[in-house]
Amino acid sequence: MKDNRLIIILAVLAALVVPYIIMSDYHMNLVNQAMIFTIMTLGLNVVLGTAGQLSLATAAFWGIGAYTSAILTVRYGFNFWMAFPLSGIVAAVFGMFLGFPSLKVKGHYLAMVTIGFGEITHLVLKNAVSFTGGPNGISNIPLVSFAGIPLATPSSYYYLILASLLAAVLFTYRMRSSKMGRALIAISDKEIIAASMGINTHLYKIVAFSISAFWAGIAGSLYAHSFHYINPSTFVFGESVKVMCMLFIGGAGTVFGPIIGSFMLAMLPEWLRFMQEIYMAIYGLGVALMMIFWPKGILGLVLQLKNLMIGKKELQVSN
Amino acid sequence: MDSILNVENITIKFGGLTAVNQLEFSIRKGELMGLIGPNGSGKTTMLNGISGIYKPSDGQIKFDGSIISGKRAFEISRMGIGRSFQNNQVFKSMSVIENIMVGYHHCMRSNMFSPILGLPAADKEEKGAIAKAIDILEFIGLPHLQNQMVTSLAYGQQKLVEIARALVANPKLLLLDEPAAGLNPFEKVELEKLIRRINENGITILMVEHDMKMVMRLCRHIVVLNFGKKIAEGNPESVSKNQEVIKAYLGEEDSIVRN
Repeated sequence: MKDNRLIIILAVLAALVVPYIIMSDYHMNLVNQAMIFTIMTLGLNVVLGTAGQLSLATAAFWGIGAYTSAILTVRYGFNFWMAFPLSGIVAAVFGMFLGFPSLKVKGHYLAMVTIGFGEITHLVLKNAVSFTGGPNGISNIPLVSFAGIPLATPSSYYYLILASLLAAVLFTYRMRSSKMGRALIAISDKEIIAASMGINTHLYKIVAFSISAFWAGIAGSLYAHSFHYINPSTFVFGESVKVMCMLFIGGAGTVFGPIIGSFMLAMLPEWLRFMQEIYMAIYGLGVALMMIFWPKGILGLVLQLKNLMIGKKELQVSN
Repeated sequence: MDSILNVENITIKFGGLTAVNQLEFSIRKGELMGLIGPNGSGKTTMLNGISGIYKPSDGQIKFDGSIISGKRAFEISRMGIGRSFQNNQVFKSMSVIENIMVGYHHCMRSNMFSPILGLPAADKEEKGAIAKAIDILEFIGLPHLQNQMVTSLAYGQQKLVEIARALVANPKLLLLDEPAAGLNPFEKVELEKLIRRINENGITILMVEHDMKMVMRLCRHIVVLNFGKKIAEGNPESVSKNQEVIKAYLGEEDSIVRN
């Protein structure tokens, strides 16, 4: 526990100085984008990684959050600091509605319902022209300022994303060892047994969907105000799959797995850029191989190795 | 007759199959009752009917004065019916103490978000839950294993964790579904002592069990099922001499208990 805390403090300190190490705006934008994805992955970690409900609608909630923030600030003149939490809340309300089918259908059937929801959302964003601007999207999304200081550069905006990400990490960390965390894991392990332990499984599943949508909505708002322009083609099914891959590659159900996975997959296209056209093939193959050989993700592998070493020590002691 | 559970004319059907057929029995407060019968006679179905996993097709079940048939499993559990399951049904991705704390879930009154926000009352409640779980682990004799992953425990120990998970919520009625299945003779002796101790603590127990000797030693009140119907009820002596029971178990005239 104590050395965990030390690692966390060091990681936060390292995160604080990142903009002083990465000088180019281009690379800073990449980091920002990776962090926005990390927030989504931490959200998906609640519904899929913890409660075991296969949801493939992350991009829809991301879009709902982005459009809520964009519409409120551009059309209705809301302050960002009002629109920001609201985009999370609006997404959470939609997430709650998507939670209801999970009470009836499970596994891949549920996945199909969530894919359907994602497609509907995408179509609405594209076709409700008067409201969403249609395929042209919404532009001139205002700059965020904090205490009078405009966060104009990627390096200054970084701190807003970092603060949101830390909130998501803290939430995940505290949830895991709370009664909600235990209830969700119990539902994932054996739903009927969880219900027999007095857990209102219906309520908890809906809450899990809402929380997951909330963080995606927050990520959407951060995305919209980072690029100042959004259009429907961003919030597509492929992005939901990407977030799911990030979760599994990092290690589902853990706190740090989603962070590792998100950064790896967000940065990988950049690292593989020298391969040009074939990079997508290599990327796909890499993801597939990792899933086959390390089904518990990178963090799962690390923990496994650690347990192996500790296990050996304990064996020696008991002998 | 101060009964805690009344099963009144219960029928449980799955499509065309009638698993439990117009069953009636009641359990007195503080009693240790056995529900026995050959494989497929409807014992586990009956337990699932009581705990709300299956909805009875007909009839009603009263617990502590109120009707529970038709209520959902989590509501029934909250009213004070704890249970263990036939095969190992521990939560595999959790540690021993976490498994037991899941059983304490509905005794924790705080809002589900307040522990995450770190509210002092919720933190205090969490500490209380941990202390309670450790107490129960001491009661079943496994306090040293609290931080182990539950899957690293021996089969018999996992079954004890399941019983502890039910006990931690302080149930009025405990349903045990084949607690002795798969245990070695030594573990069975320990289990028998444990069941007796639980009962002596004032918890009414309804157990389904195939180990006849254990049932005959523990229970003064036994109901025998065959093909979903009650074929006998009474104390061990009368049940073991009942011709229908002997026929159901052996298909011929013989005693089911050989001492």
